[in-house]
Amino acid sequence: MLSCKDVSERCTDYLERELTWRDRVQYWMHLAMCAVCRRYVGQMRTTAALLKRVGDDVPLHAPLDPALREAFRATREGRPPS
Amino acid sequence: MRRSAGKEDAGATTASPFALASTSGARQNSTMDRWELACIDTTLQSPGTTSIRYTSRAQSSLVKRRGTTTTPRPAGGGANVRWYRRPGRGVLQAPAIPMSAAREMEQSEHTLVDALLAGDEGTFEKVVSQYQHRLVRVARLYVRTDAQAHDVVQETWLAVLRGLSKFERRSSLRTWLFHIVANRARTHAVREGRLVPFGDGEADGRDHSAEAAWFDAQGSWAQPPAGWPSLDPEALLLGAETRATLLRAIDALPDGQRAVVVLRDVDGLDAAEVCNVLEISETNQRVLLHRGRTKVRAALAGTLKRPGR
Repeated sequence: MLSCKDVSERCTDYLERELTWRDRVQYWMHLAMCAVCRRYVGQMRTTAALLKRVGDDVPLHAPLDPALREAFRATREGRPPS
Repeated sequence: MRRSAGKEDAGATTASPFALASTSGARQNSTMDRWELACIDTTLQSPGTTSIRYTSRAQSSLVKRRGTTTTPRPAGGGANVRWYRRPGRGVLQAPAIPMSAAREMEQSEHTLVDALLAGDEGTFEKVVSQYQHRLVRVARLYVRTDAQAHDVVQETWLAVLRGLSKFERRSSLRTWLFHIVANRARTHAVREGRLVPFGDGEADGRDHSAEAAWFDAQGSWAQPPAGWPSLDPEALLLGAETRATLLRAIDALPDGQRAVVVLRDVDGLDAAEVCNVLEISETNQRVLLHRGRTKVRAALAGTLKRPGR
């Protein structure tokens, strides 16, 4: 039987699907009975989802750095940058 | 049981092929679990935020129709495509992106690399602007200042141009770029005498004190977490504080944890890619991710505490 502490410690493995099938079923059984752990796991899931969105704002298209443009043209002409 | 696909789905399907490439794997994991948890406790989900997608196996039992009246998907994600479940088949399951999208993405990367090799300047410009800030973010994990990080990234692009003709496509373009930038940044850090191997001390038991206090001797909650106003990331991001808290929390993480959280979550690499880029073991990667996310959750909890719960 998993304790709440076990559930919190294995939470990331659970969310990333790295638990074995058997461990997963045990995990579910605990979650089915324990509202606090459900809340905690839900918050961890949301945390991961939020972190994934932090990187979503791609900056506006910036012009290519002139040095890089030059290097690219040089490469194209068979003179790769040293 | 029928559910509409959520915003996350819409976001993933409207994003550019590049963004798709960077996030599909990680999102897939989180959505599948969301579904599983929803089976046990639907109260975790506020209505309209549940993301359900279909596995390839289950997908065959689904019929796609246009223009009729069930389960409208949110605008942006193939707005007038509706999903039906053919009766009498197994449970709905849910991977992130339909197969075709994943294949499209692969395809687009192939054509991208082809265009680069053919010397198409527009493509190079596109790749640079897509990846510049992400590479800076990776470099910054190793070097101390933004200026140094920019230098490292500039070197990286030159190295990319030199190596492009030898790029064997065994890894994705993204992994290749990340690998080069991490190596360059490590070289810089070594030159400065400040290469701290990620994982030492952060991945073992010593970094565990905060969580230990949450539980009693039997391992039950002694300090149960307070509820949050919402578990929907989009709703939470509407609050001005959420984003700032997240960024602060990421900055405050120990180096190794920050590196793994940034690559795994913010940049959406999968576990194997993270191990490869950071040159850490699979076990370290797992532990660092868990510790890092736990700290970020705690920081969020500080901001999101709702009075009266």
